[in-house]
Amino acid sequence: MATVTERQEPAGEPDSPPPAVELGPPTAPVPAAPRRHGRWLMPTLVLLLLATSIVSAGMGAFEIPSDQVLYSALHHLGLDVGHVSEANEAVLWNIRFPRIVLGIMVGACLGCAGAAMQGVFGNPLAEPGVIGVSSGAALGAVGAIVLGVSAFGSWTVTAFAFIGGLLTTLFVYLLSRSDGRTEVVTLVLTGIAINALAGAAIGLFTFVADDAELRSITFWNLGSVGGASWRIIGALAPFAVIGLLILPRYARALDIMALGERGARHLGVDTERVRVVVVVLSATLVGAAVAAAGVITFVGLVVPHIIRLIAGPRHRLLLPASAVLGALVTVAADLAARTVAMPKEVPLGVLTALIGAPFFLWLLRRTRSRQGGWA
Amino acid sequence: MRLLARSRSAIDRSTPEIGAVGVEAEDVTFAIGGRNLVDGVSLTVRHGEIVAVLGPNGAGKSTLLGLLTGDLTPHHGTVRIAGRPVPDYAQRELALRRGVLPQSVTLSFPFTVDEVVRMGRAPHAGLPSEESEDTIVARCLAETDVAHLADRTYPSLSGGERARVSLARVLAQGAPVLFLDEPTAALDLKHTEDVLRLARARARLGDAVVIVLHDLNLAAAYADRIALLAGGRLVACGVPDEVCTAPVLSDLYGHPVEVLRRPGTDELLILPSR
Repeated sequence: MATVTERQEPAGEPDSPPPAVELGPPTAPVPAAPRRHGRWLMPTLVLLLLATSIVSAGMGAFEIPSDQVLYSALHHLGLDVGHVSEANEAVLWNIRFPRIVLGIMVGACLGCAGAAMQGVFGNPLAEPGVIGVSSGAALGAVGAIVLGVSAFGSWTVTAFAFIGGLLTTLFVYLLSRSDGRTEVVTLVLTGIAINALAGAAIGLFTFVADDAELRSITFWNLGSVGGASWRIIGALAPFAVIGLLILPRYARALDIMALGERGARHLGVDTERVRVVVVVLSATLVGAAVAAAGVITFVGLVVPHIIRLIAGPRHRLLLPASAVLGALVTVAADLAARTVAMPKEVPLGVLTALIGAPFFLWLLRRTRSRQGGWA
Repeated sequence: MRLLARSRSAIDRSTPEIGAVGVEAEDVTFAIGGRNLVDGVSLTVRHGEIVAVLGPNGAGKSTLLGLLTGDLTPHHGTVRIAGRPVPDYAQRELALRRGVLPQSVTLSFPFTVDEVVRMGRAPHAGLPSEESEDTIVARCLAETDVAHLADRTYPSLSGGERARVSLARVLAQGAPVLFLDEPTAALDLKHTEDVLRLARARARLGDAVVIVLHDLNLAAAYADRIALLAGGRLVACGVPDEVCTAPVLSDLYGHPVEVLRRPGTDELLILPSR
């Protein structure tokens, strides 16, 4: 401001010609933020995801060398290189690959939805599992199973999970928001209430369920990609693709909504519209992920947070990078879940909660101290 | 944002002439719980002038500003910006017409200062611009004396630094009508003078500037006109010499006020009697 050098003149002279105001050097481009590593983030994450997937496909009760995994994948892309035994081929394409692909899709949905929800709630603690959206979706799915609804054919369970997730998201949103932000305490307490309510309803359904339904219900509550099949992937894909493709279009609007609802409106953001679209799309992603793999908590919390630490809070990078890191984390966690206690499997949702819950506590403490109390 | 892009060709970004009406309130009233917070206020602010809004606590200054910016909808009366009623604007068109600096800005995520100031350019996305975004952002950072903070994150700044960064964002928005709500509340003496000099410079270039202030001396020194509010009503509105008299101010604040001239100049000095 030192560059505005002209002296202040007596007020009330609208006729005087506007003097040449030296408003700072027009050059001097602003240097890019040095602490951010955005450029290499996506390529690195994608390579890591590919490597982890190949390793994961080879590991398990039936070991398959990595080169065989690669050859098998290339065969299906029409490249005739190397030789893969029929047994390996069968294990890879009937068991391992569906499981990894489902892990990738579920992780991408949860990571991206977590980032988008935190953006639209204006709160870094908003996470589908914590605020009860996952339980809402699980309730929808369990309800569909136990009541034997088949309104939407093979998409019924997914559709109900989506509706359950959407209704809970809207509910939490309406209950905990003020001027486009949600206070930490309100948000977490609302989450507790919603989780308790959904838990009770799921308990009720469990009570009236028969044995086969009970097994399905247990699966929703623990979370696993163990039941993966190409059919399930096919049912999840349209929901995942719609959400993952459209959400990044709202990246700029979500950035600006960090200024609060009023601040965003001052900059021309149609906050009503952005809110509705982002909430619906996030719920779609969570609903689809929950329908396919049950409740896998904390991926949507930990993943966007790590990306923000590495590359900053800009949603243009945050949304896609959270999707890829979410996929990476889920595939890696699933690899651990099915290998640490072989031949038994640790439920994936249990594993992510074991890692995610302490992280959530740490984040809660930090947010609290930064906001100077339970703001 | 896509919805807004559709009406791109219809967006008017013409620079208004000095003397043209920037914002105009006609008999606006706003009530909460049966109490009129703003009561029948009419105010016209032209391009090229600074109008300072002053009054005791609870006089309705912030409510009036909210009505002028379109944040609040009056229960009675109309607010026009560039001759057009505020509700007739699409959100983004309004953002190209008027910039708003709120009293304090908190940010949900740790964006850098550079990123925050760039947010000010959001209404111009996809529209042709004479200057590049980089140039505008660099200029606004320099004008508000925060260029050295460009790479710092907003939450890590002091109150005064945040206030200047928020001002830089509003300046980057480049809207010809500016609303500043107590822009100097968190600022030291030097930066206070800098900010008001900057507002002065913007007015001279043709902006219409409305500033809510508490400091009568600042208002008398920098504003072209002063609007005094009390109990939601406009008590007086005119050039500082006319409005800032001991009887008017003493009555307004309910405390005796002396109005002097700085020795050797005709500059107003307004002091509470002690």
